[in-house]
Amino acid sequence: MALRNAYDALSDDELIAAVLEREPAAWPTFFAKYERLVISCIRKVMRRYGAAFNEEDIEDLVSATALNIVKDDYKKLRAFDATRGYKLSSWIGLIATNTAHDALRRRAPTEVWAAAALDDTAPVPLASDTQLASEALEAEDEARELRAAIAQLSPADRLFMDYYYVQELEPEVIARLMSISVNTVYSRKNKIREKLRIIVAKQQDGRTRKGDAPRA
Amino acid sequence: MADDENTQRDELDAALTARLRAVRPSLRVPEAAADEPTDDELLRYVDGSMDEREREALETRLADHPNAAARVAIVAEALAEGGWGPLPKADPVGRRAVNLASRFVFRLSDGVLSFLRGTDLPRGLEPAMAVRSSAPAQPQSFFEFVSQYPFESGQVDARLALEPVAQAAVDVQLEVTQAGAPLEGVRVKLLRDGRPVDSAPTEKGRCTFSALPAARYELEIRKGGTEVGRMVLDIRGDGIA
Repeated sequence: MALRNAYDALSDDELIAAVLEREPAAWPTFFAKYERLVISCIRKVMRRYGAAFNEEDIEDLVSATALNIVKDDYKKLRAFDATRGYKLSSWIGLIATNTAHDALRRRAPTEVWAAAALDDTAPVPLASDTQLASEALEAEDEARELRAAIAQLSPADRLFMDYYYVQELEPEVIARLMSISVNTVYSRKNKIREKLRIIVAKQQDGRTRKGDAPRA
Repeated sequence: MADDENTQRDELDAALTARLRAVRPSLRVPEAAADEPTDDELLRYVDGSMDEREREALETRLADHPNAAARVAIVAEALAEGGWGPLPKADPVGRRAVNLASRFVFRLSDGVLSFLRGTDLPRGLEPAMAVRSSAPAQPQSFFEFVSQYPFESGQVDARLALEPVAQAAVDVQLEVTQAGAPLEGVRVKLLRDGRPVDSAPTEKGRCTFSALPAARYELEIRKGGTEVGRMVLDIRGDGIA
């Protein structure tokens, strides 16, 4: 869809006003402007939850996002207020993200939790028939230990861990979100990693002592 | 030496990432908790318009609301990647590309048909792109698109026209021509949600499917058993989100 048209020069506020005035070409221009952002958010939701998806699913969710914005006489769009402290692009990104979340909640569990995620960075589960029972127990212990260690961190550190290691956000994005410098992102990561190492070492030490204690 | 240390750190980070992802509590999409941060709060956080106290308080809550934290991360990351805008149009080569190249999405509500998005603009909108209208427009009631398909005997033009009838149905007409003349021997198959529901030969290049309710349709245009082209028509009623 070509965007070189009279609506290109409008600010977000003017474009919204034109959409609400039902100027014929305003809506297609408005949505085309944010279409790739919408797709990007939807893809990220699908990957995060390991949902199987194809281009058709993405198309459906992009259309559902558009429908969410226009339904009930543009109720959502009318409610957008730039003076609340956020941008139109962020607002549309969150609508797309919420739309994808809602769609996944409605899906049958087998569709959502299929292992066919296209995210190649996701951990590959070991095949149960080739995995030794002792290895499985060890991995389970390790996971429990790590969860217990993370629970001892401060909320801000836990959120940082989530951003850095689970969501794998770029340091620049974390810096912007948490109002810190990029250098601080790296130093904070090192500090938290060290904290975790100490907590885990203490846990292991405590377990060893417990195991060494003479039985009553 | 420094390189070795960096490599070790990178390996440690990679191992930590793999383990943390593996011990993520669950992949189930959680229902929003009662004390979940609001969308307004998440957006102000994403756009950095909170003061320090507010931000710290929200970060404490986000640590206990992984669903909200994930939504923040997704939007922030997508925004940071930037470069958004309209999708480049796919060239109509091959069946898959044709499918992607001819797709039109509408909303049908209270007898009003609204164009939501598509890979082509309705014909009536093209002049409006160049000149902004000065008066509020009446709800549009008729939409027309023209798609072109390469075919063995030369380019084929397919004109798709939609018009709402009654409160919750649409008439769809297809006109198939070649070099301005009706293309003979064409049959159009109508599929609804992937299943064939109707099929009709064209007469003087035209065929009409009447009173179609909101659903996802495909129009498959065939001549002598060969597929000429395909259009996806997604009409969303109020009940379809």
